Amino acid sequence: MKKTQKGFLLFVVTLLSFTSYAQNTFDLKINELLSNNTQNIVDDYGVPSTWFEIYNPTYGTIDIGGCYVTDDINNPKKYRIPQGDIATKIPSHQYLLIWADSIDYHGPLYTNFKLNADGGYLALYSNDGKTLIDQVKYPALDANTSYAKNQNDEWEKSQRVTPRLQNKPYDGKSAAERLGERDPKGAVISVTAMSVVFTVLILLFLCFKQLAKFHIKTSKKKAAEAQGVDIDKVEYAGEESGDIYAAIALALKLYQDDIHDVEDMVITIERDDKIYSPWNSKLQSLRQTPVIQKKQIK
Amino acid sequence: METGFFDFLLENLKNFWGYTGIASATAGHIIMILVGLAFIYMAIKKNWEPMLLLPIGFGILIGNIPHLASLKIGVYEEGSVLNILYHGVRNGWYPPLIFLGIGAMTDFSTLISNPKLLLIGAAAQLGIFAAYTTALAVGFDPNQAGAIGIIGGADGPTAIFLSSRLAPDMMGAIAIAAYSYMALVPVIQPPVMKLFTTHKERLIKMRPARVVSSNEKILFPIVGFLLTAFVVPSGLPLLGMLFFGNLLKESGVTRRLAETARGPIIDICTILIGLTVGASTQATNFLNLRSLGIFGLGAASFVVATMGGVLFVKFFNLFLKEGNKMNPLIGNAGVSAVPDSARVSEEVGKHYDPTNHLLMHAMGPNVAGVIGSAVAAGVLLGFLS
Repeated sequence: MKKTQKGFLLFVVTLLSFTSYAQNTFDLKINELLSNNTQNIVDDYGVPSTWFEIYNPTYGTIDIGGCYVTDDINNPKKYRIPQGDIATKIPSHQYLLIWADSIDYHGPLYTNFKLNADGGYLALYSNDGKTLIDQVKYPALDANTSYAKNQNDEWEKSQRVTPRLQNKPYDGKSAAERLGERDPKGAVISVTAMSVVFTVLILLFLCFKQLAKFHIKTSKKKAAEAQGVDIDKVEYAGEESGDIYAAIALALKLYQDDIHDVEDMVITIERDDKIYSPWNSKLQSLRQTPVIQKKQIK
Repeated sequence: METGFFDFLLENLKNFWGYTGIASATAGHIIMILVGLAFIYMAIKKNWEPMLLLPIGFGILIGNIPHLASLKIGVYEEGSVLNILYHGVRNGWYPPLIFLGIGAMTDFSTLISNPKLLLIGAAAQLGIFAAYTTALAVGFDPNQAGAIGIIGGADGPTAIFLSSRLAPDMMGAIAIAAYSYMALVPVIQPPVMKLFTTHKERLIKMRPARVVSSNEKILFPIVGFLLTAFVVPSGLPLLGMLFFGNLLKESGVTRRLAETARGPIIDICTILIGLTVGASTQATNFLNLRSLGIFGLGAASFVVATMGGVLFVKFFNLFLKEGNKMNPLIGNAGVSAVPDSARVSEEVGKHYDPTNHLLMHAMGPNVAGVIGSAVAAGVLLGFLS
C-alpha cells in the first residue's frame, strides 16, 4: 500500500474512532441526586423515593441501556440498566431520572439499591462493568436537599431541586437578551464572530493550498515518469492559464479550417432522418395553383 | 315594493363598497404600491436584478391591496394560499433550497486555484458586524441587530433565513433592504472602491488562474462542508445545501440532478420567496421608523463590507511578492451579491485599463463571500437564538 493511501486510511480510522467516541455512553454525566426525599417528587408508585439524574451533553441520543450503576465501590455491576427499552434512550442535552428505591422489578429505571441520606457513593459504569464513566461521593443531606453540579461543574448542596432540568437558575431570558446584557456594545460578539469566519476560511485556505501542492507534485511526477526524466526538470503544465489552452485550441481550429477541403473528401452515405408524414409530404402539397379546365359538353 | 328593492340594492352596493380595496385604502397602501411599481420599473427598465425585484415588486402590490381580514386571503391570515406559500419564508425552507441551486451553478475553480482569495470573502463580512454594533447602539435588541447586520452579507437567502429565526417581524424590511442593495451594487460600490485605492493599484494585473483538476473540484465541496459545518454547525442548512449542490455539479455523474437544482428548483423558490416576501410588506406593519432605520443600517453595512474587502486586499499585498499581488478592485466582490459585485470589479478595472480583465479573479472572493456570509449567519444564529 502506498504511503498516501496508508495516510488516508489512518485519517479515516482516526475520524471514525473519534466520531464513535463522541456519540457513546462515555460522555454521560451524573448531574444531580436526592438521597433524602420526603416531600419532593414521587415515583410512579406514589412513593417519594431517592433518585439521581444522568445528563447527556452530546448532540446525539445515547442509550444508557446495558450500563451499570452502583452505590458500592467494590461492586461495579450492582445494577444493570435493562437494554432494549425506549425509556433508557437519552436525547441530546436531556436528563434521565433514575429512581433508587431498591425494588428493581418496578421498571427499567428503578435500581436495586437506595441512596443513603447519611452520605455515600454513586457511580456509572459502561456496559463492560469495568470502565468507569462518572462517579460522585455525596455527603449527608438534609431532607429534600439535592446534591447537584453547579454552573462551574462543581458538586454542591442545593435547596433548589431540579429533577429532569438543568441545575443552574433559569432566569427566563433568551440567549440574545443575556448576551445583550453581557455585551451591550456588541464588540465581543463581533470580534468572536469575525475570528470564527476568518478561522473557517483560513482552514479552507490552508487545506486547499496543500491540496494544490499535492496535485502539482503528482502531475509533475506522472509527467516525469512518462518523459523518463528527473522530476525537477519537468514543468507543471497546469500552471499556465486556461487562456493559453484556449489560444492553442483556436490555433488548431483555424488550422483544421485551412485544410478543411482535404478533410472533407470522404464519400459517405447519410441516412435521411426525415420521417414521412402526409403533412410534410411534397407529393401531397400544391406546387402551383391548379388550373380548372372546363369540359365542353357537346 | 319597488322602493324596497332599490333600498336593498343600495344597501348591497354599500356593503360591497365596504369590501373593496378602494374603501379601505390608506396613504400607506398607496405609498407601498408606488414602491412596488418602482421595483418593477427598476427590474424591467434598468435591468437591476430583475429576477428578484420583479417578483418582490409585484408581491408588494399583492400585499398592499387592502381587504378584510375575515376574507382570509392575505399573507398573514392563517390557512390562506399566500400564507401557506409564506410558510417557506417564515420557517426558512426556501433559502436552503436556493443555496442548493447556487451550489449547483457555482464554479469554485478560481477559488481553488488561488485559495488566498477565500480570505477576502472573510474580510468583507466586516459589514455585518459593523451594522450589528451600530444597530445595538441605536437601540435595537441583540437578535434584531443580528438580523439587520446580515444585510451586510449581501446575500438575500441568508438574510431571509437568519431574520426568520432571529426577528421574524422584521423579515420583510430586511429582505427588501438586502435585495434592493444587491440590485444597487453597481451604484453603491464603485465610489467606495475608488476612494480607497490609488491609480497605480487599480492597474495591477493579476496572474492568470491555473487549471484546476476535476479531483480538486470534487474534493472542494466535501472538504469545504466538513470544515465549515464542524466549526459552525448552526450554519448547516445553508452550508450543507450549498456544498451538496456543488458536489452534484462537480461529481459529473448526477448531471440531471444538478440541472434540476440550478434550474427548476431555484426558479420556483426564487419566484415564491420574492412574491411572498413582497406580499409580507403590508403598509400597516412596514411603513414605520424602524424600517427606515433598517434601510439606513443596511446601506451603511454595504459600504463597510466593500471597504473591508478592498482594504484587506491592500493589506494582504504588503506580504506578497511583486507579480503575485492582487488588484484591490476585486476586494468589493467579497460581499456575496453573486455575480454582480464581481461584474463591478470588472467594469471599474476596465475603466482604468481596458485590457485588464478582473472578472474571473473577482469570482473567487465573490463565491468565498457566499461561504463567509453563511458562516457568519451560523455564528450569529448560534449566539443569539
